[in-house]
Amino acid sequence: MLMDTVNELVQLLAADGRIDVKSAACMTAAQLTGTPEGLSLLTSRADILTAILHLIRDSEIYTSKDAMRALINISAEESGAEGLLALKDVDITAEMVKCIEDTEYPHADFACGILANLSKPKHLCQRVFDRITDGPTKLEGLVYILSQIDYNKKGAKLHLLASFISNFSQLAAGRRQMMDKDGFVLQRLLSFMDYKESKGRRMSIIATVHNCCFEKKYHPWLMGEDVDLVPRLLLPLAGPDTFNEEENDSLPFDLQYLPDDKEREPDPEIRKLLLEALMQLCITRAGREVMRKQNIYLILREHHKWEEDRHCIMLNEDLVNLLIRTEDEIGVEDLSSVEVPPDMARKFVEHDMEFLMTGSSDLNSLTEAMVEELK
Amino acid sequence: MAEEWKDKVIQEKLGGKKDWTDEERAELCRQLDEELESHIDAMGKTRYKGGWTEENWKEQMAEHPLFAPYIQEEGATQAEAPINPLSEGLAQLKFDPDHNTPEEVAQNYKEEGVLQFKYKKYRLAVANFSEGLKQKCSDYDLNAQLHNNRAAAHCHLGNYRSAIKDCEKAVELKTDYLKAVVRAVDCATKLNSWDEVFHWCDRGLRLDPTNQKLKTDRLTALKEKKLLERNARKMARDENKKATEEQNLINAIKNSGVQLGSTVLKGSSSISLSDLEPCHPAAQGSRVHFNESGELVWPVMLLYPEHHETDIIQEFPESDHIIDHLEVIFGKEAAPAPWDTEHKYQVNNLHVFFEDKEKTKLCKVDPNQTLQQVLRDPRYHVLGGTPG
Repeated sequence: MLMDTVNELVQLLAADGRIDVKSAACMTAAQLTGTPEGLSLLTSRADILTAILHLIRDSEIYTSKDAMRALINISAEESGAEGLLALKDVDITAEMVKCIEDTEYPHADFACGILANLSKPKHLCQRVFDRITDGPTKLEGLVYILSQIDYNKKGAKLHLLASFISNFSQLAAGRRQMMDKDGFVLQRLLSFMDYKESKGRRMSIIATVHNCCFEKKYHPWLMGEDVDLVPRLLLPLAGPDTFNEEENDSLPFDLQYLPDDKEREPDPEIRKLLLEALMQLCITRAGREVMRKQNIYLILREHHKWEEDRHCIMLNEDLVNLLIRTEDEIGVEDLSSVEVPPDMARKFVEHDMEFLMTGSSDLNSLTEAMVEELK
Repeated sequence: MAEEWKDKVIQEKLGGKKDWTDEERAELCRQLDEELESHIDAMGKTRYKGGWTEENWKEQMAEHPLFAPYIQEEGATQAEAPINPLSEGLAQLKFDPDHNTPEEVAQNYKEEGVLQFKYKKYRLAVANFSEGLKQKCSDYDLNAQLHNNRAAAHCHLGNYRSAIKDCEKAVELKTDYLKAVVRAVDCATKLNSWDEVFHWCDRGLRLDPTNQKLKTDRLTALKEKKLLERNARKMARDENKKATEEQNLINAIKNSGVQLGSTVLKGSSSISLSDLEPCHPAAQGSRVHFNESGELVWPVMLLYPEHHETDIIQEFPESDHIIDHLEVIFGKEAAPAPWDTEHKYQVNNLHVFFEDKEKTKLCKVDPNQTLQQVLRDPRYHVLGGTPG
């Protein structure tokens, strides 16, 4: 009985059908996706998925909107995402990219969301990435669209496109494509690191940058003048200017003479990402030396006074620790090469937890113990 | 009419003979030929003199409209320039819409403009390209080139804003026109319009992500912009600081109970720093200020009405006693003033006065007092920032 209804639904969703019939059918489909049973039912039928996909550009705006809403819900579930990607007759990623590229498409934000959903599960991310790379627009094209405010003329803000792109940064291949010196991708994203209009976009972009910082080979480029990442990571952590003229002149231009109404990044999650990114850049000696030369300690000092989130304070202190000590004291060129024995690692984790709970910090003695052990 | 003419010729030249045999016709032809030959021979063998010689062919060629570049003098309009009728004819042929399609006319204007450009006649080049665009021909590429060329000419004339507008049009017509984009970047850089430089670099890098020049230009713009912003912030901070310091000074004076008179009648009760600027030329530049110990230091004027002379003590800390300064000026070690011929002005002889508010009385001042005490006297008014 249920199968007959479903078959009927497929017929009603036909793109060349009557407007009101399509509209009602589409709305039904969208509503079905709201329930777990309805969702798994629709997901199991490739023909329904295909039919819905064909309606996303329907001339009747509510129909197309319902189609997109249905797809969002379907793609949010991993099984749904699998089902959509498996469709043979139509390439969902290509269709979504076309929607995003179209400056007149009203539901472009949904398209971004669908792509973000599809790329979220790790095992699907690579597949989506490959399809995008093979397609005409590629990552570079999407970043270009993202970097244009008011690209879409029908009010879509495309903030979720940033989320989609940040999913790619979870893949090593994705990161490398973004940081390709011959291309021009990462630099376009940097200007959104302090984008006040959308926390989502800001968070996604900073997460992307944060992930990119894990590629050690790219550190010299990231900290060099082509990208000049360090001041950009620090600017959201910096507050109004409290330094004298000499101290100001020792800082990078972006951080000098900040106005009295300068606000720090309000979201602690984002601040955590920034600090972790800075930590990563400290892994090599060269990186540490660049940061010391830019005298960012001043910014971190002021930030420490202001910061209330335990995790961020901990990260700040770790960072300052590395910067304050001389290279002789640190003794290691590349911190990622240091092998931490498992029991010490456990102790570190415990110690961190303790710090987060109570706020006490005895990191120094622990670090020294570890250095002793490694000698 | 042709018939009449024929009859006439036959009558006059051929004796009216109308019936000819073939042989007679052939004979007539032969005769005519002979006559022609002998006539030519009679003309004599003269060389053709009007031709170009080995020496002058280059000059002749440069002047001949067919070969020479069609260049008008700068500023001359078509009417004024002495135009060779031949070149005018050529020009008409090239640009006449009746004889050419719009595309051909536009193409010709473009070539004309390029020629002017080569000879650095940029204004004429612009005019030619504009004429080409007026044709509104349907060849988008050609129009794009016309815009790009006109932009180049504008660039050389220093009209960077117009150049950018032309680049914009060029790229509208031909979306992958990298040359126009690069030109726009250069123009925007000349204008120091860094946001525009970013905008155009971004567009260019979309077309060619490997383009190193665009990347470098973008970096330069970024640096310049950062520098500008930082300088603006610094200036704002310095101004703020200055304003606060001035306010502090004014507050301190107000609070110390010193009364300021103003040389200009003012309705407002707030004092501004200009009220404190000394009017006396010798005191210029030593306005009342704080010294290291945080006390006020005033420029003080001493008037000697007897001799119509004045003295200025440029830095008189409030806490100093008047007599100390008098000691310096009139004391035993000091030489007498040039106008004090009788050396009457000695420290113990001196009476010090100040004029009261309404300028009615002279009030005696005890020289052992400090300046601060004198200034606080309710009858005392400081005029022109200089206690006198």
